[in-house]
Amino acid sequence: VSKNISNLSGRIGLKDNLFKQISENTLSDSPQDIKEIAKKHNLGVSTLHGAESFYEFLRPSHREKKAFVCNGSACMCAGTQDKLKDKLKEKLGDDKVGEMFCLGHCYENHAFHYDGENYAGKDIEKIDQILKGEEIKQEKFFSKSYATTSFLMDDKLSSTDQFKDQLSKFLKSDKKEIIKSLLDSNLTGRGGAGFPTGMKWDFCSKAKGDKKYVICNADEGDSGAFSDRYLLEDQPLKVIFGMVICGYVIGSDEGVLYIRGEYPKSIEALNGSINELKKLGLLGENILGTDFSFDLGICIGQGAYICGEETALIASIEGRRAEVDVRPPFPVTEGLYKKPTVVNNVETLAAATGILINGSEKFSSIGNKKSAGTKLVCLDSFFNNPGVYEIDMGTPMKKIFNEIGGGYKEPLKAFQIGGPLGGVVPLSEIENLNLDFQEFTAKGFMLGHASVVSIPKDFSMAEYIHHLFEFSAEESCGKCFPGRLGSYRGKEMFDQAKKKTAKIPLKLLEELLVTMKKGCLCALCGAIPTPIQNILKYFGDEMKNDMVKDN
Amino acid sequence: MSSEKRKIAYIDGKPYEIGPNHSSILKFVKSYVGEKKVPTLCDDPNLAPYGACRVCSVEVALEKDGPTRVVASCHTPVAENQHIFTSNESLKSLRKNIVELVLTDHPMECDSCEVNNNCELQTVANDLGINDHRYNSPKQHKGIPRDTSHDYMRMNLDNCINCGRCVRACDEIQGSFVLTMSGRGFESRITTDNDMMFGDSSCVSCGACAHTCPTDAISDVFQSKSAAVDKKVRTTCSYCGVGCNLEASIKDDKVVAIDTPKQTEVNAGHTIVVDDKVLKLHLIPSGILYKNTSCLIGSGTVVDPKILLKEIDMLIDNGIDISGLKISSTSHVTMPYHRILDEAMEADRGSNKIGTTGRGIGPTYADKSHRIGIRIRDLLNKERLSDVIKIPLREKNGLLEKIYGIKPLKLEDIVEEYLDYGQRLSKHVVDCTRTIHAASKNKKNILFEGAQGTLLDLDHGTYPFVTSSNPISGGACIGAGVGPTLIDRVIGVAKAYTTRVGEGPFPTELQGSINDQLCDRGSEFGTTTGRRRRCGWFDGVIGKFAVSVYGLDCLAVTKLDVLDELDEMQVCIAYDLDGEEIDYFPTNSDDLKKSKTIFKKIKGWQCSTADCRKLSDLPENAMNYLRFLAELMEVPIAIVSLGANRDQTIVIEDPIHGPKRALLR
Repeated sequence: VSKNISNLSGRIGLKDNLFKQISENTLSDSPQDIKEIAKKHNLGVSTLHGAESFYEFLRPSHREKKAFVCNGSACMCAGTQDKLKDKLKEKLGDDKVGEMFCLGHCYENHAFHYDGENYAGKDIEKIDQILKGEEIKQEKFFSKSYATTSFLMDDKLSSTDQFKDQLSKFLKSDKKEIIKSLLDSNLTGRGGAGFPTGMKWDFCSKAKGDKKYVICNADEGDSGAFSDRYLLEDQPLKVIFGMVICGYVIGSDEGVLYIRGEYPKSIEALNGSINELKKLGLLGENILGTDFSFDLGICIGQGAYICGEETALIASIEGRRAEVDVRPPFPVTEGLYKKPTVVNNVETLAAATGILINGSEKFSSIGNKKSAGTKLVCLDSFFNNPGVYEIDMGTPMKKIFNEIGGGYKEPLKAFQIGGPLGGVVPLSEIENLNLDFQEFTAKGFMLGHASVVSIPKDFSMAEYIHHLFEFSAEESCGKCFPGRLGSYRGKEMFDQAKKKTAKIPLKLLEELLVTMKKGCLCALCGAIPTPIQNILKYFGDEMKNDMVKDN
Repeated sequence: MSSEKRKIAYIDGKPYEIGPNHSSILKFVKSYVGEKKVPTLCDDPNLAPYGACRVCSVEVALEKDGPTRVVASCHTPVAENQHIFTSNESLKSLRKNIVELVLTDHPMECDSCEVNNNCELQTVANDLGINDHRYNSPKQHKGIPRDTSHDYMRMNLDNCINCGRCVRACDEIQGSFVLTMSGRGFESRITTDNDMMFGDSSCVSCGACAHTCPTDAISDVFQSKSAAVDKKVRTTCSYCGVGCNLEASIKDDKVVAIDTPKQTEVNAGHTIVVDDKVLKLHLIPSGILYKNTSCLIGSGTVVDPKILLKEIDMLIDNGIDISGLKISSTSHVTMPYHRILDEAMEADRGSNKIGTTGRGIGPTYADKSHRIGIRIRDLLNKERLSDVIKIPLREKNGLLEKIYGIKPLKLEDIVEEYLDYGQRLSKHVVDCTRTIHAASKNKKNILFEGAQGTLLDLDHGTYPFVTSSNPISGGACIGAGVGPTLIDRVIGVAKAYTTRVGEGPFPTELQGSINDQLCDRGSEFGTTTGRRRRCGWFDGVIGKFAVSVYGLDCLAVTKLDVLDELDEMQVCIAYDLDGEEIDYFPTNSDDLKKSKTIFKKIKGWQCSTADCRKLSDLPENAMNYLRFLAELMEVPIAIVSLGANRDQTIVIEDPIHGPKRALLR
């Protein structure tokens, strides 16, 4: 892919970042602005227009709406959204209510977004107050650590004093020791791909570059997951600490958090922490009197799930269309603005912090070598104890669901674990599974982010597949052919089945799923076949009247 | 180099050596088993790997009989001992299924399509044996109105397959950002600028998008991709000294289309990047980008003030100081009637008279010789311009009206427009000869920027495939108005072997493994595009010809190290033309085509010269080779280079300031 746009955008860099300018100026309405910004960057008007038109939030059809109901998988399964939508339409007008994909309130549902804030649970009852702009008291998610040692939920780094103490300790440490500690811990990336974190930092520290970057991928779009939101809002210092140490280790002086726009509270929390740390001199030039400088900023996502994919995320920050790039080159050698870059997920960075503070042996002694340490697991509102929990890797899923989750509120038949791209696990399989990345993969599922969306017994599985295809058709970047066309054609098959205009051609569907799985450029359209194939395998009978074998 | 272990990978079970330029599995596979083995849709070798269409997918295993995985070959590196499978059943069905998806959103009206039988999608689909899809009433992006607003280009997005090649060509080849994909997912589509009509956009009409488009989604008004032509003829654009290669499609002895051939040396990446600013300069010498440099557009250059002012504006916009720009008062000016005539004549011309892109260059030069041209100085005075334009305008209006049926032009309109140009340019206008002589007197360094190519010279090149000017050394005197005595030294630069990109006669071309070896060792791949150059033995006949027409004082021989591994080289010492041995270059291209080469064999040195820093470090056989070249062409060699680094150069004698004497012969 051409490096021209990256390099030109990189001349101005993060400080007056192109993506931010595209996000904040409604360019499609103001030809003059678009020309000026393009000129300033030596880019074309088309570059900016192409990028702007990519994002849901920047489209005129989105901007003219006032409220948005969550259309994530958990809220859909809970069946709370139709009523919610009607109520909002009644208050705001039929054409003023849109949708957003997963607001991270899977533990209480009824989620919607209004005027820059998210609401859920019983908040809708106070809709009149909300519309008047009054602040209402909102419920928080439940969180608790059940881990042997807590790395993510403890309070060892919850004040700026603790931050300062730990930072002065680690800025005196040998960089190689820090990398070794991460390698010894067996920490793997928590964003889904599972790459060893120590190796990533090591590669980037060795990469040559006059400038390097640290990116925190806080674009948690997976339905069912609110673990990153927990960390961003309740443990922001752990996340920032991980980034600063990463910067120190790899030789970077600038980092950026890419936080999805669907999480306003997370953005607020991080902004607050960053400003406080800057005031205290714990971010910025010559931190604690050393020659290490590190500046940190925030980029706000504009409604594109694909930005959770690291190359698309980088493209997004650069002001390019957030399309997935080919690899190699990998970001550790050619990342943001074509400079060596570490991209880590929120939980990975917080875990790195936990490991440095508690020691790598404690982390590696939990679970096994490939699935080590602790993991945040999110349970949705179908559990008696919904919430986010820190759990030892290797813990039986049965124990997590029945003891920690306290069992189910109503009869369920399956769970989608690991977001929309994770596997659909039938209830009967739960007792054969432990919290372990490899074990899930070996059984044809994917643990991913370990979020759990429960599918009730009476929920139509054809409807669920439709939801998955619709999601991938809506969120596909459109670059690769099997992803762009395949996800849409799959959605059409289930549209037609739903409207009873045609039956599902099973053979063609199966071929399509294989084509997408083998052929797609990235894990969005390449992994969406996993849950669909799971459903066909375990719940195919449920749909057999809607299907034809040949086509 | 020779001591390094050779790396092998396997294609369908057979071992092949991984060359240094096999940057992807696709390139590796194509170089050994041909273009067709792995189909592609979004790939264009002139563009960076993109990985969108996925029909180039192959299976790879890290070891023999190891587990395989599917990867897109265009962006996956080839690795040692990798086993690559290019066409098993599951790959065939994968490719088929992807192309089937493409056909679900395609009009499938091949019979009435402009590019029928010359369409990459059609070819790939046919090769895979697929001409229909199985999906039930899929939504299609049909009925997007054809955009015919552009003077040269046509956009027909119904046939677009979203491969992004046009967007990338606009960015990577032309350095413009006119085209983009907009929207997302299934709804993404190609557009220009801020959703402008093509003709109203900032497009500079370079044609790179149409050229790379695999279907007829973007094409040109000449229907260049239409397969119904009798033949295609290679020619050279005479617009400027660059010598862009063009391909003319001819039907019934008429030129019906002009296109850029797939592989051309000069027009592949015509952008200059300074301080990250991408600037395109056609007329203004690129020296303007350096501070403390004066640039003079010489008397021999034909100037289109419209284009020149556009370039000036662009430079000013980019904060570049143009106070050092000077234009000769006697440069000839391209007038509107030149452009119109050029376009009108284009379609009317016979197949052997082509060579313009409708920019009016030919007619401007013709008027110059005809002594009815308009010069820059004429634009500075209303009365003079009104006076000198009368005769040519009457003549051109007659031609336009009577022969081409085009509305005549009004004198007042032209005078008004061109006086305005004159006024804007006036502060740059100088007396060319006096300016250069003053600089020379003040001991300034003067660099004449001409074009490359002995064989492109109007008088001495392979006529008619030549430019309108004289790029040989003598051309500098004529174009700038300086006497030959002002030129201190003429230095020629030649590789130790010969290369060429694209088609055309190449008498000493090599085939097979030696060609690959020279190509790989010499990194003979275009710098902007990565295209492979054709390689051959040193052609002493062309060399000798260049020495005489340029009057070379000495020669710099580059890339000698590329020959390091060969056990034997050959040098062409003469041609065999119809059974007769000739030691001169036939300027007639028909004779050139018929000529066979006569070689002399020279023993190789088979050791590395990369670390040689002085003449005495060179192996004896390398010295013999150089001596042979010097004797053959009767020119001393002043410089020998042995690699890309500056210190890998042996300066035998300072060619600029040193005394004129035999150096190495």
